[in-house]
Amino acid sequence: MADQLAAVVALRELADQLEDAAVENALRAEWSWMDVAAALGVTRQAVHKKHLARAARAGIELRRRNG
Amino acid sequence: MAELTLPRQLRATGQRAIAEARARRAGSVEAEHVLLAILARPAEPAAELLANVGLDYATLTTALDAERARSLGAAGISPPTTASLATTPRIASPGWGASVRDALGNADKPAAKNGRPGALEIELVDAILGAELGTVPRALGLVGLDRGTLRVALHSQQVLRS
Repeated sequence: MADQLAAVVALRELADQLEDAAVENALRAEWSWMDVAAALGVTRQAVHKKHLARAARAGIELRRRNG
Repeated sequence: MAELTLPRQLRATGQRAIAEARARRAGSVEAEHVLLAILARPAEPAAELLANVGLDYATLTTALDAERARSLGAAGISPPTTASLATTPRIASPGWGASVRDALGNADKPAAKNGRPGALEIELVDAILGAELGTVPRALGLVGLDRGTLRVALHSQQVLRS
């Protein structure tokens, strides 16, 4: 029982880390915010809010891909 | 989630715990990050007392890695490589997690007012080690460290040092 519950904790953390890496990789590959959002099954606003500052910090060129 | 204001004596430790959580890309600052922050300063009283009975920064890091591998393994997943998760860190600092709030609530604050250096930090560590469930007790158990023994050493040696 404890292992199952701990797995939930570890998977949540891993999912967050995977999302950060996957979104950054997609943006570097010139995916649009719209496409990233659609692939994640969330709104563009949601993915934008969560990742925009980090993407800007990473130096990813965003100006032409705001759609 | 409500803001958490740390006692003045713990603020520097709190800042280091946030740094530990960020370095591990954790979504929140948990008890294991506080413990890592404390163990990262081996000359401080709490870290010295724990090192005497086998718990230091490297041991806790190993224990946490083992705990993560076991937890993911329970879901049929192998821990991914660090390289596959490489990314730019988030901007915002992680917030305080429930395990830190619980430990602060359970720390024996009257006992910390004994004038010994690092007394409140020692009581906070005692409260972290007193938790029966969660990442820290699981991790310590996986490397064969008994929390009861650690807690006894924490206090018995405190008395000897006074």
